[in-house]
Amino acid sequence: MVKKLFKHEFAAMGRLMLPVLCAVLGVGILTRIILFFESDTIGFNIIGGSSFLMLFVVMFAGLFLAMVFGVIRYYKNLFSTEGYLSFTLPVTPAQHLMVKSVTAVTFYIAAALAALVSLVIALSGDPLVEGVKAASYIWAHLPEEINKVHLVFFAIEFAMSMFVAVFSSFFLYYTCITIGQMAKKNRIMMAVGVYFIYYLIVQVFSTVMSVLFSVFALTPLMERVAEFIADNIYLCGHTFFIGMLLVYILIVGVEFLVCHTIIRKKLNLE
Amino acid sequence: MKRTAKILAAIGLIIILCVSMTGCMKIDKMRERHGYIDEKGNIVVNGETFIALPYCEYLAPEFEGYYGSVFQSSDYIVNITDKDVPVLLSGFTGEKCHISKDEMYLVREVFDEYHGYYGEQYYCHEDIYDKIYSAIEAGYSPDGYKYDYTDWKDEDNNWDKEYILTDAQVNAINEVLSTVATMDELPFEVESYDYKYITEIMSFTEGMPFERYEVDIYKYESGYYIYDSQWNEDNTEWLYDDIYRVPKSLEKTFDEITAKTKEAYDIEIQEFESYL
Amino acid sequence: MSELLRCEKLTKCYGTKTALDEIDLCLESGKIIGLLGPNGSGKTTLIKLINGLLTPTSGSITVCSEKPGPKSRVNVAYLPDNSYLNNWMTVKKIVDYFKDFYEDFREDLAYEMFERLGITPETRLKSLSKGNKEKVCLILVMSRNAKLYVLDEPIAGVDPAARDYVISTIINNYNPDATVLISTHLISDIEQVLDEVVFINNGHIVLQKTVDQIREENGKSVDDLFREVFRW
Repeated sequence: MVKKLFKHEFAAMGRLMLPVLCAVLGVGILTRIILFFESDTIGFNIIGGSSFLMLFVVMFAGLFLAMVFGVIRYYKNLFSTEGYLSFTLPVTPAQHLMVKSVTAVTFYIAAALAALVSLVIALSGDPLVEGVKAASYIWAHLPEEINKVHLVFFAIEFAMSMFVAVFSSFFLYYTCITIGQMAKKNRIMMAVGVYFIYYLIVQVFSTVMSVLFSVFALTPLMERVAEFIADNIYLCGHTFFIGMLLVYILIVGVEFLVCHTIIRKKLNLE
Repeated sequence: MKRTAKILAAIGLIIILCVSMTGCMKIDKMRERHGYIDEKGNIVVNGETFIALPYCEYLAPEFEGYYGSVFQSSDYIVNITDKDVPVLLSGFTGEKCHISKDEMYLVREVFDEYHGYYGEQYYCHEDIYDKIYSAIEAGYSPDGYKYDYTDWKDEDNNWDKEYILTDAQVNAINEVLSTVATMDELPFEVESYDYKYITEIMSFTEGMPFERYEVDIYKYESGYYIYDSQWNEDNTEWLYDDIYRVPKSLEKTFDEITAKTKEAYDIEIQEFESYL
Repeated sequence: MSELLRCEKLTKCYGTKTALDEIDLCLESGKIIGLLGPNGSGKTTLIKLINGLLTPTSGSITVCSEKPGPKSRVNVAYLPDNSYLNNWMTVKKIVDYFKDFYEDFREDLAYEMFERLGITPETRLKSLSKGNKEKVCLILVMSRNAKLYVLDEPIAGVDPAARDYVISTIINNYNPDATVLISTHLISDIEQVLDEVVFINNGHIVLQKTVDQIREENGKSVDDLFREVFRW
């Protein structure tokens, strides 16, 4: 059943996202073609600069639209009249949540990859070759004190955290929508309200933590902590990145549970 | 499925086409201004080799945008790095030097251990190295005198214009230096440096990057004076000027010599007075 | 005959409002049952509970001996009172969708019924009129070989000719061993096809009898009895 759900979910998201991905790649190709006619004139500088600006705008627009479409799809397919079809399929709420989130994240990553490929296309040829040479040179000439193995692991841990962070972003919006649908009227406004309350709580929490940290920084203990970090930079780095990953996993878990519980017990279709 | 495959194939073809479009003007420009020092100590810039010239006090190739520092004009700055440094990183590592407009000469600031300061080391293209080296070895033999002046009437390009003195004008200066005695007692206006304008006379060799400062011609209210600077043995310290009074008989010639400087001076005075 | 639906002291509250109050109900297979009651009587609440779209406040409900959930939905074909279609889909895509999720879906039957309405597989759902969209929803539901068909207000808001179409589609295509539960307040149109009726009011089951029993005992049609029972 999950496979079938994935199939239809990918088809539904694909019809929205494929034109966006094609547009992102298309602008990259267009930029490269424009650069082919490069000349040292003011006219070309304006056109070339504009095409690169357009490329960066389209790249970020692709990511933004992937997020927007993923969230809209969740709302429309589960909490509008389409919900009468979705929730009467022989599928559990957990499967719905899993399929929706995985599909949305997949297309978000696809949008990111399309942006990267588009940039590579736009810079293809000399710029790309020289860019790769420069990156390889920097990597090869890192100071000896820097342990490259740890750097690679940092990058992997960071990438994993970001991957889960994307899930967390989607699930945040899912949670707001799921809580919002419990209202009798103005469900979208309610979802927006939930989001602002969450944001407010996060801001207050961050401010309190910043103040506490500032106070802590003035104590003698801070010096010892700083010394410890300096002496064990790799251990602290791994702890930080893995900690970040675990925090994101925890957040996703909590958000998933909230959505799942509300859908199972408090579903309120229009 | 077929349609999707066709679209993907078309995209792939376009990508390959784009990738085959090599070249980027900005990177090409960076390559033209990226060099390294080879095992012989020569500087290789974009495949062209520049060899260091021996020290020569009158060696003065022209560099556009260079006024004793290599950071004046980026069009003529060359980045010298290790050989394996990629062109994109050439601006962040190594040292900078200046290349002449005709790309025949390089100037690099090097630390002069003997004198204890940074001095200029000139390099020339290997194609003209033998010619320049032989000329330096043969010694300086200037062809004539010239001076640089500012032509305020030319709005587009008023700096560093050259006036080459005629033979008669050169002879007039040499005559003053050889026949007139240096002044022991100076008039008040000369003591107080109350001059109108100065013309710095350089000697030069036609077709060669050789020139040397010779004398300054000062115009005072009472007439013309030639200042001949005297330096210490190492040419590192100015000691005093030998001052010669130009005879009245040669004043007309000196009016012709300094006409360009006077023109610039008159325009500056006019502008200054118009502000008052 | 087997028991398809059993409710025991089933209660559903929305805050302080009680939509269903300890109802006991048992529906057997092989019947067309009318769930009749005025607006706000609890019909839609009961239907949503049967389909697992709501959870009971107390009591129990089983459908084909399963609690409402993925397992019970395999046996239940549900037609809600509003269109649930993805408007961007074509008829073929929605048929494939149903075929993928319901093993009992009869594709040939569905296309046959679409053809009679002049709807081709390539037709986009958003290009259909409101009436045709409702017919498409009905065809999709009735093309399933389910054990329990739950139809929520299938003839409300449609013209008389369309009502006849809906009723004939129900009669001609449902599984005779299955049960069809039709929720409506338009009794006179549906009465002739009903085997049994359940009257519901203010969250209580007021009456559950066969149509023949009502006619014999009360000497009235179901419509007349409904008007009498639910008189203001």
